[in-house]
Amino acid sequence: MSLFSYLFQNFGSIMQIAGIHALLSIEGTVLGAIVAIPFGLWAYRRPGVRRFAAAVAETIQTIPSLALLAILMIWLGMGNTTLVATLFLYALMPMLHNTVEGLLSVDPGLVEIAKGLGMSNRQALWRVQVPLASPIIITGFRMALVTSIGIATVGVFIGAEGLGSLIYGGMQVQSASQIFAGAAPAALMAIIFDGFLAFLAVRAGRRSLRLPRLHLRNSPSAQTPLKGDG
Amino acid sequence: MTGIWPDIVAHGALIWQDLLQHVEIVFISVAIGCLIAIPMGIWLTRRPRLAEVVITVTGLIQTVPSLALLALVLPVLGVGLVPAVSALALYALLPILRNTYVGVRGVPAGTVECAKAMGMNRMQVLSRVELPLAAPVIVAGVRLSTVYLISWAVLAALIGGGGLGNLILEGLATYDFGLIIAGAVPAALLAIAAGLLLSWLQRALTPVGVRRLAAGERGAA
Amino acid sequence: MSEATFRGYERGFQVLEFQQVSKSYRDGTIAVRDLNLRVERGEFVVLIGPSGCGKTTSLRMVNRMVEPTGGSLLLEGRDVTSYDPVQLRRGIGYVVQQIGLFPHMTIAENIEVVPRLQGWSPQRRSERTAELLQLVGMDPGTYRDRFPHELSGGQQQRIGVLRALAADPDLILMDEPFGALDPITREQLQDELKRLQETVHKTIVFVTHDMDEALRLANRIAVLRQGQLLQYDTPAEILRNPADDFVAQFVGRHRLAEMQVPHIVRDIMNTRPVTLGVGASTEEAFALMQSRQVDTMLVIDEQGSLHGYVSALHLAHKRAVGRTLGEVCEQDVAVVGPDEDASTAFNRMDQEHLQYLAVVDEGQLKGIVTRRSMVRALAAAIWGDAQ
Repeated sequence: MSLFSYLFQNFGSIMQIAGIHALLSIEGTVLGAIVAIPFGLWAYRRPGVRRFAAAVAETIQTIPSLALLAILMIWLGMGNTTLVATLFLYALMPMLHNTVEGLLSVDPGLVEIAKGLGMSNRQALWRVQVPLASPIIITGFRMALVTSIGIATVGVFIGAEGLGSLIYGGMQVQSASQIFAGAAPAALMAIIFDGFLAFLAVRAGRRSLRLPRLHLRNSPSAQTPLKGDG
Repeated sequence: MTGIWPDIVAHGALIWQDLLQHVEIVFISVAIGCLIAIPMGIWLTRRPRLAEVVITVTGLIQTVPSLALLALVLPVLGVGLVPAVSALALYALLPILRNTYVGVRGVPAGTVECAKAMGMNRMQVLSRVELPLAAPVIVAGVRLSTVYLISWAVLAALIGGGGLGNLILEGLATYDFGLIIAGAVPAALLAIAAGLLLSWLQRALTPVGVRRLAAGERGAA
Repeated sequence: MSEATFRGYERGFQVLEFQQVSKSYRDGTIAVRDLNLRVERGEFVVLIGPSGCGKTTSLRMVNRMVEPTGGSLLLEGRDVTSYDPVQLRRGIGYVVQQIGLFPHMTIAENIEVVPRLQGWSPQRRSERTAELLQLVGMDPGTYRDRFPHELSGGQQQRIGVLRALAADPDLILMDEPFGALDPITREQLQDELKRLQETVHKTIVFVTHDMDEALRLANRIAVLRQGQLLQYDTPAEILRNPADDFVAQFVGRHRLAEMQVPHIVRDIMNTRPVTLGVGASTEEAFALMQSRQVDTMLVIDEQGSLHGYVSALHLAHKRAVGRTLGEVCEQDVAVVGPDEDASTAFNRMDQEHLQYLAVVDEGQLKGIVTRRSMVRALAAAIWGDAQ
């Protein structure tokens, strides 16, 4: 069957699967953000805690996705829950790292000025540091989400839903059209979320006066080196 | 379940064989990636406009989920080691390419000017000044590629690439936890070990003067 | 085109000449226009001017970091473009303001960059490094294996200068090498450089925008503005006869900054006023006034404290023949202290129409301020001590 007729005939179900795929990816990433960002706000002033947490998160990040999925499956069983739990774990590192880096990148002089103007520590954090760090924090979320979309395709092996089922199914019946029908939406989804969140980060950056271009245009731009721990 | 040790022991020989194969796939792919990406990254530093385009394109390739890329290789290149390594090497390119480019570009223009003004030719500027100063960034790219590839090589088993993915996929297919453990734990340990090894290499390759400089800056901040 | 090898470090460099050299860019900006300049062996030439005047561009054309678009630059009579740029640069020392030192190399490795490129043996290189470090008073044992960032800014810049000297080139180019240093370190390094040049006899072309620095270092100064050479002369001649208003303004400010402006009365007083004791006769006073050509004199007592003054006019008026000065002198002398503000003293004389002010410190007469003494002090500050 030709690629186009396959896509045309199955458009509805492909979109439905893609929707589930997006939801699962976002779910895992948002759960990660709910834990990692507040933790980062608390930990950034505590170098010991910060380094320990970063090391743990980085180690998790290093573990091959299929291996982590398989191991968690033993505890949590087959299905979407295990996938979301895995995505949550992978999302921790980029967000923790970027939250901490973002806060540390804020000019301490500005914090001093904020306190000099009569802000409490808490007010200085929320009104000065977090807004200024927000482009970098958003970038962390962006990196986590893009990673999640990719890893979610692997979820098919532990019985989770999503575009992986199309890809793996296509491999088994040797249908390039079906493989493409799974791969293309996943890639497109990643590119679209990547672009949208990059746009949000730039907007946040404009508001914060300094434009940390370095951290913003992460994947398409040639400005920043990729760091293993970033 | 009585811990993971019995599973590991039970499948000892198999694990060893798959582990070696896994390392082999990753090593060859990263090596090919380096051979293409490092010279290309250096070359691109002389053509910044083209570099933006090339890096954007490789960035797009990177957004294609690894499973999808491997799956798409299947109809084109078939099954076996060569298709697996080809797909993985393509993946290894981006972090190395980008970090080489950024690392070399990151050497201060004044330093390069000075090297030229002292009578270094282009190769000497590259080998004595630019590469030593960019080495830590380049190695960071290699490290990232390696860690990613260890992960993706697990999936390469799907297209007959072999490696630890064999055990995991087989375990998942037959719901045999022993096999899953036997594949997943060594894969995880391999990735962690490779990450640590390359982090160490990255530090070792950071020129002493620069390392102390960086430490000093961090201390001062 | 056959490319010759420039071996300034072997044959000895003779002369550098800019002939109608121009540099323009594609967008139409002209960095340097028709520059003519001749630098003789052993000279210390400073190119100076405001930013954008083309001084750095001119310097960088010498070692072909920038290629001229018109005219020619002759080194030992040959156009620099006929030399291989890499070889040319190895024969010319080069020092720049920032970084310059390679952060990943030790001090010794930095100094030895050019000798290494020229294939010196490790033995010879290391001896040269030790010799150079000693030249600026840095202990080789202590410093050779350190890294640039472990040194102070002044020390780093010393190493920058040594690195340029390492292969013993005869010509050294320096582009604001001390610009980033604090004023005290800068002066120290300027003195060291001057001394160094006097011992090693290098030809140095030095770019700065600081006239103090130029005056301190140069044998000849080239003043540039908007790519054009306005004047090329010795520092003294430029100070004395600036070619145009711009040069005058450019050096004038610095000349005033250099001047020892008189601040207090002590600076502008005459320390040997004409005086006589209280016991002297009016005849003696007349005679002294005639011989010293003054019409007023101060009268002091045996302890040297001021008693009063006598003037020719009122000596005649009082018909004071046969009396002592102590008896006839007037006592309402205008007095200032030696540490009072000179400008206040001047204003007072001006407003109260005084001929002089007596300078008294703890009752003792220390000197006298007259219009004449004031003019002399100011003249000395502006033109230097003429006597």
